[in-house]
Amino acid sequence: MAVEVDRETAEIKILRYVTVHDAGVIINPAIAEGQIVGGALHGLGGALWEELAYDGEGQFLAGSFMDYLVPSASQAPAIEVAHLATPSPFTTLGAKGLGEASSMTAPAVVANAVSDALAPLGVRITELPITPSRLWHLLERAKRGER
Amino acid sequence: MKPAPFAYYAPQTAAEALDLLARHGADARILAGGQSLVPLLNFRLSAPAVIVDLNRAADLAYIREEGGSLRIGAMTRQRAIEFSPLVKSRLPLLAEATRWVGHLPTRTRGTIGGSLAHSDPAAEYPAVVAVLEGEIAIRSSGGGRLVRAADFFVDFMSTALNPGEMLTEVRLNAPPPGSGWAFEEFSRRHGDFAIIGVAAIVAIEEGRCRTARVAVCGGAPCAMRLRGAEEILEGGRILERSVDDAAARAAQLVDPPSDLHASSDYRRNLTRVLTRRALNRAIARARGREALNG
Repeated sequence: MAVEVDRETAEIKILRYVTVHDAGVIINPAIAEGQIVGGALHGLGGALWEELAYDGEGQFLAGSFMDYLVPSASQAPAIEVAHLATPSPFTTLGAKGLGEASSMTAPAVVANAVSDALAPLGVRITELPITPSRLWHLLERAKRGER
Repeated sequence: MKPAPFAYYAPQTAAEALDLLARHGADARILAGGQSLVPLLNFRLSAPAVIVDLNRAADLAYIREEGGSLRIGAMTRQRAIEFSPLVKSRLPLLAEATRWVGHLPTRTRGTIGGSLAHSDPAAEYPAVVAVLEGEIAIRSSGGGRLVRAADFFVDFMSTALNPGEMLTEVRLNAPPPGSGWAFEEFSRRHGDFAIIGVAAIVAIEEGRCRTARVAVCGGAPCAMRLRGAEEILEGGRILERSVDDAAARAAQLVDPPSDLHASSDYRRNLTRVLTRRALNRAIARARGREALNG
């Protein structure tokens, strides 16, 4: 993944997203790609927007879709999908599951890409979602020489 | 959830609506486009005894030029404003800001009057009307009055409207000749509530800033003009440093909240960044115009 971070607003732009999966023998390529792209969006949601936030008194703060932000079509980056096909020896058709892998890798790849982009500034991502506000505070702390 | 029970009226004209408001006073809430009120009803954050639905009052939906100003009826849909040739030519700032109001489907229902009367702290229209120094026409069954934008937005979701009164029209003058404008906003996703939005107008005469106006949404309990930032620019040459100073002053003047989406400090930072960006775009437009006129 390649990202760009606006140093003033801490906005993250995804420039390129490539994801490779080994689902063994792919029976229906269209469904396989849909699973991977859908999983990626789910993962991006957790990385950038979705947060089950509570306040100090235990009051849930994200009780509606006005506050619990899920990615919609307009947040979806172009996702380039490639496959390795190592047939499974354990299933009749040589197929494996897929989908979850995409939602599990997305948060890690976003965190790593943002950490890499901001490495010269000494910023490392250890908490999700990476909201602009949270990232801006990390940038400010790094500016002051704190880690 | 579903709303608490209420009595429902659907007047056909503004006059009928005013009669209903006179009869029900503080028990009545006006339903305009419903994009804010209906969620509030469904969450039962608002439980009025009476709803007066203005959606059939066609005499409240219009955009016309009169006495040198643009008059927009309270029930004019945001979508109609977005695509009005009159708005585009006379008040392009309003057209630009409308792109940030909610989403396409909500703009087809949402109205300018509803947005102004609701006065959500993050709403774009109150900031735009403040920066354009607009006037808001208010009527009741007993008569009418005109309120300046500066006096209309009072506090968090609170305006100069009293029970029995209805916002019927907003009157907006085009900014001074030779001025440039810009609206900048930052939100978590496009169409979400603004974390911060900034509207700016700059008029330049012979290389000097004649007028500067800046208003912010999301930076205070209601839309706010930032006079202290404007004063830094007015009368002086337009320099990168003066724009930076005005933007820094803007960040001192706001008093933004902290919530789930952003801390107060981050909102202050955005106020500085977006004020600078809005001023620079407004200045570039003013200069383009100056060059055209000269």
